[in-house]
Formats: sequence, C-alpha cells, structure tokens
Amino acid sequence: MADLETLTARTPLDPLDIVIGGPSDAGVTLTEIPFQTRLVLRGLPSDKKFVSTVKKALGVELPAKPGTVASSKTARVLWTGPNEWMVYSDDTGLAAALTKAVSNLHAAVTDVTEHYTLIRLSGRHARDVMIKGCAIDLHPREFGPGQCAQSHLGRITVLFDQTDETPSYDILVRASFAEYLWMYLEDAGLEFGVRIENVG
Amino acid sequence: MSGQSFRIRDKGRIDRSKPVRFTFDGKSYEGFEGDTLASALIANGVHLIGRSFKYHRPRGILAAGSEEPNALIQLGGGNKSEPNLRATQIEIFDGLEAASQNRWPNLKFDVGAINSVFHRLFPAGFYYKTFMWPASLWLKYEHVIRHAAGLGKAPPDRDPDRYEKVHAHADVLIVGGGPAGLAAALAAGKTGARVILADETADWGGSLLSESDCEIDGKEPARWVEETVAELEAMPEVTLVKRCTITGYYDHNYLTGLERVSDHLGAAPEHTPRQRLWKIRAKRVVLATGALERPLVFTDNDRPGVMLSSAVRTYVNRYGVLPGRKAVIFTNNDDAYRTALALEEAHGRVAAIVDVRASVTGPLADAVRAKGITVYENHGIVSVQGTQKVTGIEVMQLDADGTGVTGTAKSLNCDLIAMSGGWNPTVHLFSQSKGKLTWDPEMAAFIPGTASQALASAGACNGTMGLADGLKEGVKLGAEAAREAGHKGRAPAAPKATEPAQGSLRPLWITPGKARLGRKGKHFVDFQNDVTAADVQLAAREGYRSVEHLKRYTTTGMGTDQGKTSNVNALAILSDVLAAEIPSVGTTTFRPPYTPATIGAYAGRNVGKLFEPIRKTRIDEWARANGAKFEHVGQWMRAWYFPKNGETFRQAIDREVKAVRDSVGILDASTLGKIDIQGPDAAEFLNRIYTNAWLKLGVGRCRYGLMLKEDGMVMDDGVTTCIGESHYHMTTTTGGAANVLSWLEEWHQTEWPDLKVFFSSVTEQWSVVAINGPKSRAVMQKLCNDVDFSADAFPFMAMKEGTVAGIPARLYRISFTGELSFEINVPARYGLALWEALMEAGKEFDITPYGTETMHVLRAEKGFIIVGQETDGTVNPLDLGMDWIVSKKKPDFVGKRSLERESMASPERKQLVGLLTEDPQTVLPEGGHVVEKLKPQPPMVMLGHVTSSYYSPNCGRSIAMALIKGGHARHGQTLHVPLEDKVVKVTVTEPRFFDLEGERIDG
Repeated sequence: MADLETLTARTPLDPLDIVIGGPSDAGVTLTEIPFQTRLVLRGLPSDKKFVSTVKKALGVELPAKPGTVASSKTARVLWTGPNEWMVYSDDTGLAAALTKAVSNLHAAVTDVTEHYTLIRLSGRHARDVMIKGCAIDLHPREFGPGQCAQSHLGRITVLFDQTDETPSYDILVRASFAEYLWMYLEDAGLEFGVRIENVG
Repeated sequence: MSGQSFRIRDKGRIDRSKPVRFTFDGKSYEGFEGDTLASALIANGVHLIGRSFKYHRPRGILAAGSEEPNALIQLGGGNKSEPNLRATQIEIFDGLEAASQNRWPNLKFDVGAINSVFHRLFPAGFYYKTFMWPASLWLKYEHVIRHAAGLGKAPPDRDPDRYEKVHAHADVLIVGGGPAGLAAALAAGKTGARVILADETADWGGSLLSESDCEIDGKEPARWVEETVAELEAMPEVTLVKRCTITGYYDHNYLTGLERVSDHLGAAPEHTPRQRLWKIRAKRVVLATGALERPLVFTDNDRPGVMLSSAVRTYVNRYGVLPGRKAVIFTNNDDAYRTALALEEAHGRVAAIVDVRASVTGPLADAVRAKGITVYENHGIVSVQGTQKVTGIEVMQLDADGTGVTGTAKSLNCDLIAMSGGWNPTVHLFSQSKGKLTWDPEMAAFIPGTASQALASAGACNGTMGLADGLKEGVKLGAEAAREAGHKGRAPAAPKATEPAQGSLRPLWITPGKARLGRKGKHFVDFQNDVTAADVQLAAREGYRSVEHLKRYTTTGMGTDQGKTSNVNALAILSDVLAAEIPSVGTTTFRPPYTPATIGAYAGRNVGKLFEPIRKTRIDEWARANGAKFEHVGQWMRAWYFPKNGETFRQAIDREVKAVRDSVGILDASTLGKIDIQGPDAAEFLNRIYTNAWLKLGVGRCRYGLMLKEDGMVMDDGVTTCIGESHYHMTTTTGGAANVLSWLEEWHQTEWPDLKVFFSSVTEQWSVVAINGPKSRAVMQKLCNDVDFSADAFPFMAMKEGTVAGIPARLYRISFTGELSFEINVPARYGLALWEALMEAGKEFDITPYGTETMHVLRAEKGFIIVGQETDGTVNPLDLGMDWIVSKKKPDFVGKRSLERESMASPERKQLVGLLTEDPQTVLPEGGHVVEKLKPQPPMVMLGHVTSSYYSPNCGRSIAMALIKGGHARHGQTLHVPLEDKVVKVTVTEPRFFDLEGERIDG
C-alpha cells in the first residue's frame, strides 16, 4: 500500500502543464505557492483570553485594523473580518498547535490549506496587471506592504496582500477558480511580458 | 495622384514629411500624418461625404470634432469594419479604407434621394402616423422599418480585436485638455495631487490649436501648450490620457472613459489593445469640456460646403486645409469674424459677412472692414445654390422682428458658408452627474447651475468664453479641487492671455426664407435625423408640448450624435411656438455615452476562455483524459457520463446505471458544498436551521437535513455530520453552497448573535469520491485496513476516520443511490491519487466511473429529490411527501410558522408523484405538462409538470416524477402528457420505483 510520501500531490494548477520560464526582463512574474499551511481563525477580539492565547501561539498580535497584516517568524496573519483572520505559515504543525491552544475558548480553527492556492504576482508591472481587474486603489499612497483586501479580480473574488515594494501581491484563490485566475493573470500580463517562476 | 490642391502652404500642424495614402469609396487619396479623414478629404477637394438618414440628401462636413452629425463613415472591412464613425475624429493611417454610408448604388447617384422629392409624405412622426394600424401587421411593418433604419452596417462576424479595461483612481480628474483643462491640471499637479487629464482628441490644446490671433504669456498658444504639457509630463503623479473620451459620469464621482489606444495606427501592435475602457473614481472632477458651436437654421443649411465657423478655423489653422476658396460668413455673433480673418490670412477669399444683428461694431468688425470685406447687417441667407456643393447664396434684409425678409434678394457666389449661431457649453457630463442646468440669456445657452457631485466646471463649458478668463478659472478650480482632495498648495498665477474682444450675440433661432417655412427648401435643425424647423413646429402644433415627447416624435437628437448640434435649436424653436421661456421648456436628458462606444470595450477580456470562470475539481483531469462528457452545474464543470467505444448517450447511461446496482460505480462528488461549523451552540444552531432534530446527534453520526426559507418552502438539503465535540461538517447542494453559507451567517449575525458558533467554507479543502454498489465494501477493504467495514461496526449514516490508499481520509457511510456506499473525503491534493487507487482496486469488480446523469437516474429510481429540480421555491416538504423530516416537537425552526398555515397542507397543492408511461419505453420530456381532461388542442387545464424523467435499466422501463395538483390522492389515476406530436398516457404512482423496501443499503 502506498504511503503519503510516494503519492503524487497535485496542485490546482497542475492540469495546466505550466512551463517554467520566460523573458528575464519580463514586467511581471507569476508563481504558484500551493501547499503552505492556511488556517481560518475565528474568535472575538473583545475576548482578552483569546487574543493573548493566539498571540502566544502565533508570535504576533492579531491585526485589529481592517485590511491589515501582521507577521511573525512563523506566521502571517491577515485581517479578513471583525472576528476572522487568515493565517499563512510554513509550519505544517500549526493547525494542530493552534487548535489545541484555543480548544477551551470560543474560537475556531479551520484548515483551508487545500481549499485555496496562492498565486504570487510580482514585478515592476504587477500593479498595472492588478488594476486591470481590481477596483481597489493600489497606488502606493493608499495600499502597500502589510495591507490586504478581499475584492474582485477579473470575474472572481480573491484575498490578496502586498508583500513588498516591487510590488508583489500574494493572491489567495479558491482552488476551483485557480485555473481561471492563472489564465487571467497571464493574459493581463501579456503586454508587459510574463515569466513563470518556481516556488522556492 | 490627385494633388492636395486645397492644402495651405504655411499653416497646420500636420507632418508634411509623412504622406499617408488612404481610400474613400474605393478611390485613393493622399493626406499627411496628423490629418483626420475629414481634413484629408477637404485637402483633396472632397466635400460630398454621405447621405442623410431620411431624405438621403447629399451631406458634407459640418464640424471638426466629435459633434459631427453628417460625415459618418464605415471604416475598414470584414470583421474589423466599424460603422457610423465620424470622419472628423478618424486619424488617417497608411492603408485606411473608408466608405460612405446610406447610399445606393453610389454616393453621387443615390436612389434613396427620391425620398426628398416626396418629403411631404414624411412629416414629423411619420412612422407613428403610418404604421399604427392594423396592429396585427406590426411585425411586417417592423421588418420594413428595420431594413430602412440605421446608417452603417454591422460587421459580419466576431470582433478580432483585443480590448482591455483599467481601474483608475485620482484626487482630481480633469476632463478636456484645452486651455482651461491644461491650466487646471497644472495647478492641481503642482500640489502633488494624483491627477488624471483626459482629452478625446489626439493632441493637447483644444481650441488653442485652431487660433492664430491670441497669445498666452506672450507666446503663441501652441507653444504654451507644448511647455505646459512638458511640465505636466514631468510630474510623476499626473497621468495624461489622449484619445480618451470620458463617456459617462455616474454616482460617487465614478466616470468611464474610452481610450482609442491603437485605432490611429491601423493595426494594434501585439498584445496591445485596440481600445481601453477606463473606470475612474475621482475625489474631485474638473470639467473643462469646452463648448460646441450652434448651426444657424436657414434654408437648405445642410448643403455640403455649409460648415460651422469655428470648424473652418480649425481646418485652416490646425490642419492647413481650405474648406473653400470663396467663403460667406453667416453669423449672429462676433466670433465668426475671426474666421473671416483666418481665411484671409490663409489666402482664402471672403465674399461677405452676413450678420443677423442690426448693427455691428467693435475691433473684430473693424478689422474685417479694414480688409475690405462687406458686412451685411440685419441680413439673412434666404437660399443656397448647389446640391452636392455650395455654389452661391441669396441674402435679404430681415424685417423688424426677424420673422420675415424685405427688399430684394442679392446673389453672391461662394463655395463655403461658415455659420455661427453662438455657443453651447458642453454640459453633457455635468448633466449626467445630475447637476442642474441654468439658462444664460446673454449666451442664449444652458450653463452649469447647481452641482450635485464633487465637481467644478472651468472655461467654456461653464460659459466662461474668453481665453484669459478660462485660464484663470482653470487655475483656480484645479488648485481648489486638489485642496479639497487633501493637497495643500497655493494656486499658481494664471497665465496672461490676449485675444480680440467680442460683443454680444443676437439669438435668431430661425432665419426666415423667401417662402413660408417648409416650402422651397428645408431649414434643418437635426442634420443626422433630418428634422427640420417645420417638423418641430408641426409637432408642437399637434400637441407635443413636452421636450421629451418632441424628441421622440420628431427623432430630434436621437441620432448617433445625440443632437450635439441640434438640441438647443430645437428647444428654442419649440419654445417659440409654445410662447414659453426656453428654461421653462427644459432640456432632454443627457445620457451616457457622450459619443458612441464599442461594445468590445465593455466586454474587455471577458471573452473566449475568460468569458466565464469554469470551476474544476481535482479529478477533472482524469475524467477529461478518459473521454468524459461534461455538463455545467452553476460555474462548475462536472463529468456528465463516460461513453465507451462509440456508445450513445442512452447506451452509456444504461451501462453505468446497471453497473452501480450490480457491482460498483465511482463518482466524483467533490463539488458538493461543505461548511465547517464549530462552537458549543452549533447543535442548537442546526436545530433551528433544519426542519428535523439535531440536538442528540452523536460524534461520528450523520443526518440528512432539509432547510426551508421563512416562507416554508424548501431551500436546500444535505447531510451534516458530527465530526467532534461541538464540531460539524455540513454538506449542501453543489449550486447552493454559497447561498447556504450566507444564509447561516445572516441568521447568526442578525437573529441569533448570542449563539456561539462559527462557519467556514471548506468546499474545496476536500476531494470527495463516492463509491456505490454491492461491491463497494470489498473495494474499500482492499485499500483501507484501519477501519472495520462490517455493517454493524460501520452502519449506515456513520462517519469514520481512516487511511485509504495511504491517504488520511474521512469516510461517510451515506448514500444517494440506495446502495451500500462510501463517500471518501481526502485532502484535495490527493484527490486524483485516491481516484486512481480506487479505480485500480476496483478493477476486479469492473468498477465503473459515472457522472451526474447516472447519479440522477439512480436517485430517481429511489425517489430522492434534487433541490432545484423537484423544487422551485414554491414547494414545501409536505408537497414532497417528506413530512417525516419535519419535527413536530421542536419549538421553532426557520420556516415553521409558514409551514403550519393551513393552506400549506392543502390537498389541492401540487404534490410530488411518480408517473409510469403506458409504453414502458417512452421517456417523457422533463417539463412536459400533465393534464387530466385531454382536448384536441391547447389550452387545456394543466395539473402540473414532469420534474424528472429517465429510462431506468434497473426497472426495465421509463420512470418519471412530477408535481401534480392534488397528486397524493391521485395514485392509480390515468393522466395525459400532450406533446407536440403525440399524447403520452401515464399512470400516477408513488415517487419511488426501485428497492421499495430499502434492502440494498447494507450491500
């Protein structure tokens, strides 16, 4: 019988047979980051016990301001609602650890690692690609590293945050919409040149 | 080569080093880069450009901008062809192919012009008067009208071009790159504000490019424009967009712009759009859209060679072409005198100025007279000679009140009439923004009044006609807008400008002719739709007193130009007849788009594979590789069936359906909606949302639930499982997933915020494979050795965790087929691996992949409903015979109160039944109407309709379900389903057809 190590894990974009590469001076790069740990964390910000427990477990205070992101060594936490956060981490044990930490509190941890995939759009024309399909003002005066938003991109809904000044955007998309988003971004990037990069 | 004999040697901004060849109606011409099609045709002495809409009158070029009503062109060929483009806006490029419209067999000889002879048969409201009765003939009339309607031709096939959209945000959006707009942009830009400046033309400067008699800060206007644009371009937060028409002004300072990115290049470079739709959200808007000159309404004022006075100046100064060698200026104001001087300067001749004002003085009149040009004061043009080009005119003196003429007519030879009836500020966007217009009697025009959005109007569009004042206003409003948007900074000093001073105008809305209005020639008001002053007066006499009615009855302002040159004239003439003040008559509504917009730009990239997102499961690629046929389920693409070796649809379904009951089948069920529910009050919440009892569901147990809307009608169904302490996994229908999650959140947030429970969608976290059939246990046992699969240890409606093919999995013993069944949930990345392992393990049992169609047949054999198929929002659980799932004990649940109304249990309601056709091989069409009393033809009293219908190989006959009035009491009755070609006799039964005792569930 097979074990997990030998089984082929497929990302939502694998069926597209994406070819890594492209011009070195491309205006944008696209990268799929498929299997990072992703958790939906629910709890009440007014619950001091919850807030302090989570801070201890994640190494960072939960962002309280709408559309902001807080990061620690182990996790990146995006504000997605008044009692809802999205947690990204490379620590595959975080789901269990966080679930355990809040087990006696009114809180919920839901593993959504597979529910989504993440597409990183980066490059000097990344913003130009984003604003073709996203109505949010992404001008550096209005939106920069440490900020996130849930909005339409093209014809679908995504959660994205800006991770650096390049700019780079980490776009979280539901797995079933990933093919659409990838094709959409490739198409929107055509005029600037698109390079596909491997994660890592 | 026909030379450009009307080109002026030392004028114009065209690039004479870059000749451009193009064709018009198949004939080749030469122009220069920088020409519009209109200016290039004028350079070649071509003035007959098109035929008018109704009378097919020969028409030329009236204007020099987007307001052009006459010179409409079909551009390009094949699928790139575009109709009704204004020759005045088309920038020429090598190889451009232009054609005239609305003529047959050709422009010079047009059969349709016969309409002009019979013009008395085509009065205002012709269509309304002629095609009114009998009503039954309307369809035939419409066919005839459609054929005659429209000017250009639509392209035959799909649009090959690329269109894009972009979202833009600005502190200050400035519309119009003329003097006021440029001044505003500079003032706003200097504060560091984010500024977008858009102009519909290819060049910055607006009216400044047409003038040779003014200076700004001691410089030629073109030089000032260049320097200003250079300064703006150096500002990082200023975005300049040329060839971009701001087409619409909507709520919250949201505006749209249509940028013609590469139309002027002929072909777009690779990956470059042809056009781009801008969606602009601006904190403040400064409108600097200028003003449009009004035509004068005089006899035969539509002849080729009759042109707006300012347009003549534009052709002379901006394009370096002479629209005529000998001009007559016809005016009611001083501005047209500048045209006379410009023509003289360009070596054209001016035969005379005809002015309706009684006495004309001032510097411009002095300058004209100094050149020896005769000015006919208190005169009007009473006739125009020449049909395809003006050859001369007659002028007569106006009587005391300007409604008639006196004395004798004097003839003048000329080939150009430059007319000016004053100016209409371009208030279209202001009005679209819901700003109120006011009437300025000095200008005899509407100007912006009270704004209702964060905007300001600068320059001519605000009625500020002088250059110096316009610049000043631009600077002031640009700086103010930036400040209001949060940017500090003083307004810079306004540039100093000089230009000839002007006196006032005399509004004379109709220039009387020699005969009564409507006789001996036509006074055109709306050139594009062939509406005359006589038509407007007739409509008013017939009782069309509202301007909105007048517009629709006469079609004034309803052409592709939306009456840019005609609306105020029509309104003034209507007011005259009604003896009412113009402002009290009001204006028609200004609607977007300002100029016609390509539909492709609104589609953008939502075409082809990006037309609609297609959702796919992680097993989709296997189905694709194995020949599945697919169907759309909402946005999902689901495997429909798996035909083998040339099977027909029916053969494939029969095989799949039998295989499940005889051995084992495998289905990708990943699209089912899944919601993770956590919290100590989760059970209580479920108890309130579902109709049945949920408080005592143990860990590891599943329960089927039905959700109702408040009205007691079925909304969704699915199985929810208790997967841990205060932790549930809900499934919903594929199409209902998003709605159900919103539904749960809504009830939690608005009605029961006290309940401690959280919901999160996990639909795509899990790949779900359902294996069904007597051999499914055997397949599971081959792949999973940490779960006891015996019926006792793992009963129906239980959930266990285990390892399947090495993959951590949740196994649900639930069934949508009535067979022994397992729904295996694994982390989505292993979905394909799981599927392949099951296929391999199932080989010895001939495991059969099946899709949604077989799923439907199998559930119908068992009488399981599908929400949305057996229900349509008007069906309650009692109608479905599902009262067994409605708790009688619970104090409340969503829909309970409605469901307890007496009428909800009425035996007269449509109820779910089974139908068996007399001939077992006949399969009823879904949607078929069921009747009791058959008549030879409709109408018949309809009892209900067929909701599901299939051939069931397991029953050896067709089966169907239907919603029938009083159906539960009709079991055994014979009814009829009348179809187009036959009537099917059916017997009403229970809506269950197979395994009535439920003996197969344990395998």
